[in-house]
Amino acid sequence: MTLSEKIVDHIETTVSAWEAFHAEIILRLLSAHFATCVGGFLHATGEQLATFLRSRGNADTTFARRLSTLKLIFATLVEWRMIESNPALDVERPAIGDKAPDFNVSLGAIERVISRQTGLVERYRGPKIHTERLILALSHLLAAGVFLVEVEGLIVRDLHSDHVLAGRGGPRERPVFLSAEATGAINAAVHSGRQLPPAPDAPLLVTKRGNAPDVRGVWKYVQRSIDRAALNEPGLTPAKLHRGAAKVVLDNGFGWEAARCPSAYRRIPLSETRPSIDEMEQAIKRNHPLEFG
Amino acid sequence: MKIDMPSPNNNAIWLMPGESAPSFVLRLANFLTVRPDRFLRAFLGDERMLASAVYMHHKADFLADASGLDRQAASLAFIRRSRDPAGERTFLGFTVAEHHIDQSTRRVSPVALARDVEACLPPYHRLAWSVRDLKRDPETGSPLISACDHCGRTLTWEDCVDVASCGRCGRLLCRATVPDEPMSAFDEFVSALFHPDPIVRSDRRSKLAPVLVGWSEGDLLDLMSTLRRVQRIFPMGAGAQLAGPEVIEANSSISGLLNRPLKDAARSEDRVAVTVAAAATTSALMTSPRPIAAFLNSLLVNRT
Repeated sequence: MTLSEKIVDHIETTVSAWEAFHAEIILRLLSAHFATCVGGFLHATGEQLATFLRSRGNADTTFARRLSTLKLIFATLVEWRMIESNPALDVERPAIGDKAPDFNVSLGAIERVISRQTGLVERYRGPKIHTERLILALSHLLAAGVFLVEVEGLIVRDLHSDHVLAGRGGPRERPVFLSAEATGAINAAVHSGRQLPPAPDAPLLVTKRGNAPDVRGVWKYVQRSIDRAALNEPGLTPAKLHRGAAKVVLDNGFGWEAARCPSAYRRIPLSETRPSIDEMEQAIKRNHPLEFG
Repeated sequence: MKIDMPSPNNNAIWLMPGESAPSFVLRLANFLTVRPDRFLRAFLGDERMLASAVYMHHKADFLADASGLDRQAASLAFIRRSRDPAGERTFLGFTVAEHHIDQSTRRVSPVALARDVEACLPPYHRLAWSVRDLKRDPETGSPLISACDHCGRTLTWEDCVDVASCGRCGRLLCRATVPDEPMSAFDEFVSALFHPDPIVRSDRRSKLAPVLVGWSEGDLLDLMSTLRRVQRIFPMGAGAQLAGPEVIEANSSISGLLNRPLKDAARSEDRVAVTVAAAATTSALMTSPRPIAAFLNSLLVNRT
């Protein structure tokens, strides 16, 4: 058993399987990054670790997440007396408290992206028809609440007559309900480009090369349809397309408890539309008048 | 379990069939001493906490010693906590959840109290009357009242000196007028669930969907409550009746009620209507206890 495997096992038993999963990824990256150094990452300094975390161009949130895992890894090495002090403690954690996902999505823009892509699929009869159908299916899936990262794991068996089972086997496993239009578009993409009906365990959507699109692929395809829609208002991204599912539920008068369902958000996300103190005071006056006597 | 039946004109204190602990403790206090508040203080710690006596199963020995009943008989007056699952309560063979019990008001059936008086029995409060969803006395089918018809004040345990009278004006509740309202199918269903006669209970349960026949009373109430919540989110039309117990008589009707908003949304021109309907329905299911949510989710989607 290698040192990395021992560390992963230790973290799994003492912290959690989730942390161990992250530790395994970080240890691979660390080994690759410090491959040319004598003693590998065991002799890394705080400065070198900061450089390692920044070298991959990660966002601040990823930096903070990975720093947390690094601290665990080096704390294990300290515990085993393989090093004297934890160098990860010297790395400054970036401030990420004010970064909130933007749920201010224009539903009209989403509608325009989908209707334009639908029109394109209906008219286009060229060699790239499969890719166009794939883009339409991806747009429908994201707009219904499926995460970009979940698309690659979808299999044919996950698609039902009125919903798709997203996040199978994970903590976010849930049915994402689809309109008849979306189901039709996804079904067309599933069978397009395949000579035989796909097996139940085959990827739900495949590119023209026969692979399930990964996160970058999904982003690239959907971004293409957003660019084509030539929206006047800037800012719509594939990730915001996905957040449109929560936005539409909120706009229809249901609260966050319902809005978190399409994407199975584990907690109510921070949003830019937080009520002001005055608004909260008005709400208390309206609902609990006796409080103000 | 054999319950000691009282005989008329007997001066001994008996626990009446289905009597609640607060009612029995109050009668016992009045019977044993001219200063009932002292007895209540010894039993409850504070005489104003009469309502919570239903939960004081650990005081069954005290009650048995004071009344001369055996412990097993005395323990029938209490609502007991189950170890597993947490939050479950049992009384007289019924199983409910904590939120089904409401002791914030003292609800009584004037008709049942009047029948007690006619039969020369002490009028007493039934344990089943503490169930929040029960609007009628299961045995007589008469309405339960929670306010005095004379002074209009809410009946509470805090000011109660006699279960058969109003704590404020002393009005004999066995003479109180009851609202003349027809019994709804839901009230009839809940009354049958908590009926003292096991034949009536099993007869009503036999009409339920096969998978629900063995469910506890509390789970059935939660199931109905969740279905009604879904129905309230997506009403069929102005003044539409809420789902009655006939809905849970077949899996297909439960599934039909749950899936109706989704089917209606799928038929509409609006692409996002399905997302909204699904999110609202799922959210309503998530607020129900876990086994009910799991059962309803299984009917909502086909996870094969």
